[in-house]
Amino acid sequence: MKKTSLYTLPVLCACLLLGSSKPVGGADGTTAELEAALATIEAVEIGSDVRFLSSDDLAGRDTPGPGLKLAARFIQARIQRLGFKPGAGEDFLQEYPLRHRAIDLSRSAFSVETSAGESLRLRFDEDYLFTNGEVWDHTIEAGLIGAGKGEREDIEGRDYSGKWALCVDSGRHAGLRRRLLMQAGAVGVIVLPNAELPDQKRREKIRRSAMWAKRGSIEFPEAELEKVTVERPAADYFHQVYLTEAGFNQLAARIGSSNVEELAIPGRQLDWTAKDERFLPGEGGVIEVENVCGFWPGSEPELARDVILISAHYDHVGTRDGKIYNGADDNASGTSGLLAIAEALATHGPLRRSVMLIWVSAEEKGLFGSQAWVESPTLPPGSRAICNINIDMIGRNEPGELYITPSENHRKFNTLGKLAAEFSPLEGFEELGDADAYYERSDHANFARMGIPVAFLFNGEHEDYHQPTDTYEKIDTDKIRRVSRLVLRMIAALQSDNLDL
Amino acid sequence: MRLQTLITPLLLSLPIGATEPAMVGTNEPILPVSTQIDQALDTIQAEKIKADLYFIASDQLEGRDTPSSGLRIAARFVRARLERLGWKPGAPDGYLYEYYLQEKRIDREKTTAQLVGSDRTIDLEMGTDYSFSNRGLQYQERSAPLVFCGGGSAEEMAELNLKGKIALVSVPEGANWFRTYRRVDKAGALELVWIGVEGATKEPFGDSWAEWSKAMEGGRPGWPADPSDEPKFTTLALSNARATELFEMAGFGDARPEAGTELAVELRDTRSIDSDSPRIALENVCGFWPGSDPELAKEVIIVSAHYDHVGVDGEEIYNGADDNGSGICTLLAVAEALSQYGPMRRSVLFIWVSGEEKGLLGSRAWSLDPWLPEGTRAVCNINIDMVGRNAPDLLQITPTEDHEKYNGLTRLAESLSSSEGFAELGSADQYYTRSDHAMFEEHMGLPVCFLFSDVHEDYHKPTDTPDKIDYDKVRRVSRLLLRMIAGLQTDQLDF
Repeated sequence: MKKTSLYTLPVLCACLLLGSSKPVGGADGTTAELEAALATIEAVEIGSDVRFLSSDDLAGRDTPGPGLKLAARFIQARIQRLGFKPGAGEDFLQEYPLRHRAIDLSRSAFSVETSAGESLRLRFDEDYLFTNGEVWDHTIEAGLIGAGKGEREDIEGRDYSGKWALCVDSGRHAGLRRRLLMQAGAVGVIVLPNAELPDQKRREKIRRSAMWAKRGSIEFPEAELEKVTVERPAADYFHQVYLTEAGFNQLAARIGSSNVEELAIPGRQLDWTAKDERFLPGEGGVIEVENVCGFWPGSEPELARDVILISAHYDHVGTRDGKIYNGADDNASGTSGLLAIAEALATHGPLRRSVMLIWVSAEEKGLFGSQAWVESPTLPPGSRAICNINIDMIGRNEPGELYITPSENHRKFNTLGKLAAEFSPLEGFEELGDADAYYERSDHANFARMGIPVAFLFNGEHEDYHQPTDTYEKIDTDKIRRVSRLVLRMIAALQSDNLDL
Repeated sequence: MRLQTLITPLLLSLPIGATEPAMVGTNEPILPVSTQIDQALDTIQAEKIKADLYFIASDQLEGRDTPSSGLRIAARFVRARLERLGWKPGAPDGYLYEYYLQEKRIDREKTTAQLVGSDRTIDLEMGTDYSFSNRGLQYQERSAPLVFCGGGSAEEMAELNLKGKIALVSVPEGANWFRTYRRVDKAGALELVWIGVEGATKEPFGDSWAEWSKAMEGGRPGWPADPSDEPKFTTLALSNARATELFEMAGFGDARPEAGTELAVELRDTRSIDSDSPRIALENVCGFWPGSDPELAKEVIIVSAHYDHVGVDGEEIYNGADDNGSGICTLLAVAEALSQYGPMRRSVLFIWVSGEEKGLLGSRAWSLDPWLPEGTRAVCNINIDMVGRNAPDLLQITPTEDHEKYNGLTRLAESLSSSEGFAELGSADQYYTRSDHAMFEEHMGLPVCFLFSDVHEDYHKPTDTPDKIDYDKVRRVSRLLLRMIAGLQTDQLDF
């Protein structure tokens, strides 16, 4: 052999294995890199991720919530380890605002200070209530004047300017009392419980409304976020505070009297002050939540500007009545599948085109995470999204059962659907069912609004859907493995020079 | 990593100088053809350690207190990694070794105290006449004469033998009582009773009495108490009114005797714990890497790091990035390296212990009741705690040759440390009793070694955060640990 050829043979072999993008083998045209990448997707690893994400300690990953933040950081740690580039500018976490209308229990309180300097601080729900319609960022601190049962004869002719009215619960509708008191200049009313009422139906209604105030609701903020903190005229904030039995008992103990009629004698000036502090979460009810974005840059200068979006929502619905809604299938399954796809991509190396993996939050509140991403896409400058594959619930039902939308029956049927149908038998899905009824039901609906073709893979609902019983032991981790492999095959097939999507 | 295993046999035939491709995303320099151990070492990368450490030390884990939700999540994070890496479960029922602590609550009916004089007995009422903290809640039935020790100073207590006696010491408000406490304990007293100085207006530790009372209904979790336990040296605070009565009872009227005087009055101090005191389940995370040699695989090298920290204080989160995120992530990195390497001749058990900050409780529980796969036995322990701060080349070890427990592990570490940028290993002997290796040595008699890069200004502060960690240092400590494990595979181990 010539001198230089000592190196030639091994180097040649190395070249064949490395850096080549031509298919080398595989009956289905799979390249060696793709085979290696597919092989990294393992059921045991997926199961381990599903178990972590759906564990009780993450408390059902509600938006917003600490469990959700933990899940985001778990995902981030993984894609960072794998060598993904931050997909949201310089970060992996894209922050976006949501409106959270709820009473912020950590800051809100009702307190009373008596003339003797004794102060009492009461907790919402246990000691005092107000209704869901009065969830505000507002504080009132004022003296108190008795107003009996809040009826006309109790209030008329008296001046309540700048004061709280102190009333006994009459069991009647609050509307008249409120109107009369506002006319008399009161800033709010404190209603003491009345054990002598024939029934406590109205009080029950107030309790239920207070539960809603506590649970709160999430909304996508209006376009002009500056309007968030515009205050209403002071007169609009008439606070109606209802003391519970427990709350009143604490007050009575402090003042040495539990005679509600006597306390609320119309016109009686009480030398206490009461302060009702109400806070919305975050800044004026605006909170920040996160999508997790990891970018896998393409290798070819032109084609790398095309970005394939793969998405899965990582939130679920939190807890209710003390039960944790673990969301193992919905959507720890898809979240873990996407993590497996990330690892496969890391093993494969760059594709010709770029890939953006997006784990979105607030899907359960109304697809808000994907909406936020679509409204402010975190694509690198000069690049554009060309399609989206979304996975949501891929770990339950029959092993061979998988649905897709848009299916061939849908007017938005596209190449992604064709690719899915082509590769699904290789992964044990003989046929893909029609999930067109769900076209608007998960995050792909928002990506579709970008004018790009989408595909949604889904195993259908089951009896544990949105139940506390959607748990890890029921998950078919091999199914998640096969769906992840399917998605990877689809991604690999989106690398030809010209794509006809 | 699979692409690498495809190429390896091929590349081994390449002459030195040819290269393998850098894995996408790594910043590590491209290396020459490597041996099996080098490939394993190469999996240890600063960026990966950093990603893990930022998670472990994130605000969301709220300082990983024992016990807490953050602690459980950290355990499950480690477990998830062991599962992914293919490590075997190292605990009886999986990866989590459970042990129990107790939130001791006082049994008020059975907790009493009396002052017993020659002619009368005074019943003391807890909370009014005397008090003690939840730390002093143990099973005891003590009765012993009181010896007045003045202010408990070294002069007043010189040559006092307090064996079998109870010391009576007056403490001014705000005094540093700890030295006196130690002195009395050393003098052999059964117990120490604090009283106020003459004419004191506030009760001794008066501000704490209310807190102590609250803590009696469920204080911090501690080692479970058993009625058969030998009661330890403990303290009690006696009210000013009762202290006056005590001296009067003892015949000293309004005055106080000299220091060293034994009073003709006994203190009877009975304490009991509510048998319904809640038990708290805690976990050590254990992963097993079986050895390949039929005989040597029966020997297990234990590597440990505590994964708890101190939680939150009001709004402040104690992230514990160095203490002990650095140790947690060292073990995670080496676990991955071992997965890459394959089996060693001997077996390895990695234990992430909790309760360290509460008194080495997790390692204590494990070492008092170790669980190892059938047929195996532990041969040594290497413990990692705080290795991510201070100068890049600063690393300490204990036991050094100056320590009575000096053994071959230190020699091994010293022989390998320069290969990872630690020219010299300093001495951490003053910390020998301060971390988990002490438990493996005390209860199992194992040769142990502790790697540590010293305390710093952020130690046990909310400012021990991940941005301050020297990730390259943690990488090198991890590599050193792997080299040490690799160095413990000879036919005979010379400790």
